[in-house]
Amino acid sequence: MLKDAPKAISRAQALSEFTVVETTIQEENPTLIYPDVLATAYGFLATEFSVDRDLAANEAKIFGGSVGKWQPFPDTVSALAVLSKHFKLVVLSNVDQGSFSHTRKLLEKGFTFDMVCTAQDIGSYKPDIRNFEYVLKSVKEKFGIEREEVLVTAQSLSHDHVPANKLGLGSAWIDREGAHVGVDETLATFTFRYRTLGELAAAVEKE
Amino acid sequence: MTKLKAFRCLVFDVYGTLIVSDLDQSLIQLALLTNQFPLLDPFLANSKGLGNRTL
Repeated sequence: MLKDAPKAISRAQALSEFTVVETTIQEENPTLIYPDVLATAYGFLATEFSVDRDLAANEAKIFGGSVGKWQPFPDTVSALAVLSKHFKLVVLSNVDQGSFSHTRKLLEKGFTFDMVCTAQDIGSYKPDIRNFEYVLKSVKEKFGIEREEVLVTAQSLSHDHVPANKLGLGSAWIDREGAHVGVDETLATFTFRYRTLGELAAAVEKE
Repeated sequence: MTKLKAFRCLVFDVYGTLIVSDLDQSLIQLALLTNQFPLLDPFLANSKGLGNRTL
């Protein structure tokens, strides 16, 4: 198979270039659903790395449809169950509703999310500030929750904490080990920092 | 010091925060499924499966 990929690329290079391509596609096509963003980004990279076009097209389609099969971190499900006893739990994701419908089945064990807001619903992708304004307006209308009562809880400083900073929101950085994208600490500030969601849940239980 | 319980609502990112959204991990899975993933072979060989990305 290596013979089909004339350019050898590193893991870091592939992740970095994928993110650049993905972000550009999202900015230029804010209503494109996420599986199509993934597939389009893969196609661009395949061309860049001189992969056979027909073979790449098939792979791109499979890759685009893979989101719903991605698995939770080991601490996620139990942590969400704990956190659901103390907070309204709201999803703000760049994915589409169709893909998330599969993901939520993996996560909702003994609780359900109180609200799910996707890029597909909003018409733009994070880090666009409109996505956060949308969720703030929604939780105010549905639950009477004020913006200062909202804690943005996310791994990516660039996609989530930067816009949270712009809006003056509290934020908890889930600084997952091995994360490659959005981890430059000069990008944003945060109120709390934990290595896992499980650590955050344990801290809540201790208060 | 700010208390976590001062907040009433957690707004989660999903992929990268709750879900392993890692590009190479996903593609390893697909490589196994399709048995043909030439684009990613070179870096899959070096992957530790820890490259989180956010969505």
